[in-house]
Amino acid sequence: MTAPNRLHWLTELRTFAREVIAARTSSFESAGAVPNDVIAELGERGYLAAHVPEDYGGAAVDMTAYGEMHGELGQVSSSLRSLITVHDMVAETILRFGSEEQKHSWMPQLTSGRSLAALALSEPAAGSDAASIDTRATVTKDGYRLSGQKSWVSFGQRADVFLVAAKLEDEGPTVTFLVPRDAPGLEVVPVTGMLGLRAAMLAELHLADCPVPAAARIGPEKAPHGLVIGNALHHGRYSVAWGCVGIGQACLDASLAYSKSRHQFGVPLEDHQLIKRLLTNMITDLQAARLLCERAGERWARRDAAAIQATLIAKYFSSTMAHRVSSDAVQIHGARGLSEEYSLERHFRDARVMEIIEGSTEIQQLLIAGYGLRMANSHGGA
Amino acid sequence: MTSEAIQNELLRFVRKALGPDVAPETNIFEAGATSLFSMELVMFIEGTFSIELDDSDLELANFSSVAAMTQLAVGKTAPR
Repeated sequence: MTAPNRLHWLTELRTFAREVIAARTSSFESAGAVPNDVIAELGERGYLAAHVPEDYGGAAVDMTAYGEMHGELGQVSSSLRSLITVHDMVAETILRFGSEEQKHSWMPQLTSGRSLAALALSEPAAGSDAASIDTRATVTKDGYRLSGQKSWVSFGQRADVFLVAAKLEDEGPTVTFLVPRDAPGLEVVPVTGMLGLRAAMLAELHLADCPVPAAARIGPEKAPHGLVIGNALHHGRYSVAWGCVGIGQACLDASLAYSKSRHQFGVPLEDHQLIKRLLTNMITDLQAARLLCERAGERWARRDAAAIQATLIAKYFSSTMAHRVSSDAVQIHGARGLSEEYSLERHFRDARVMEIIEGSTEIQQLLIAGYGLRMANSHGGA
Repeated sequence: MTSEAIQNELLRFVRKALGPDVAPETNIFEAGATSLFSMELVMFIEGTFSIELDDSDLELANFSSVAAMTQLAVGKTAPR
């Protein structure tokens, strides 16, 4: 994508987010769903799997522009941003590990939105410890049979196809399969009542001897440990990190405006030093998160191995930043910050979710510290 | 880039992560390579040697040791 095209693409996206999506976000949340017409428009506008090369129907946007898209959408609807995140995690997996035949078969469907995809990894007994999943893939004459249960599948209620992670036989490696929603033996059970991302249409999947053909397997049967799912999670972390920058930006913008318009003790809030301290922390926190996201995107764009570490740091910092900044925004707004009539309580609830999905804050801390210690052993610093 | 130069680059990268005792034939997963390191390796090989690994290259056997990765990279960089 050329620089003028990139600018035009981002400008159109910004207008779409602020003029079309922002007006409907509350209705998504109260209905607990992103409507089909919005999903169709995402596909028509090229916002689904936008990083995918044009040969496969994508918009071929660079990773920084791709991140900025998630930041823009994160400002108006984290649920909608999450839809793109999980859909794109599946598209990225097919792009990276699929055969040419699989890419040509699936990518046009995913980039156009004709098929919506979701990732099925977590299970009742396997969250952060993803290697301990119980779902099993048994080899059959024609392919495989899948049995197990998947939890917290974002957009599981709506997805047309699932990327399901399963252990090959009892002690084998983790393998991933594309399973269509209407596959025999697959039952989708809606999950409601969540704290945040209330329009993310969560579901459980119950797989009872669900037959899938050999061609449904994405990636080799024996890939390096965790490579396929790790790559999907890496993509998701990058997207979530930018989405958190969006939450932070929305909270900061609202807080700056409110600090000017709201008067207490005869002066605007902005003249109170304790409010200025909160604003200072919000501005600095947000800018640091944005810079970490940009750094990760630049490294990823040039296929630098350090992109893995940079993305972990960006996700860790941005998600904790979104929590801090949204909490401060609620504080500045007082009772209005607690009301559903304003968007801050939604951002505050959604920000809390970001510290758990695509690797909890604690998992990021373990991985980042482990990387630092590893580098210190080799040359004295991370 | 010669096969020896490729192996040396790979050894340098792997030893930085897994320690100085890694030899070309050492099984890196038995030596502590994680899923994150697997991802770093793929990006390192593609970025350093200007090659693109496709789905059939991403077999465990091709990444089990520096010697195996060298063979993979040499095969992908060789004129066809």
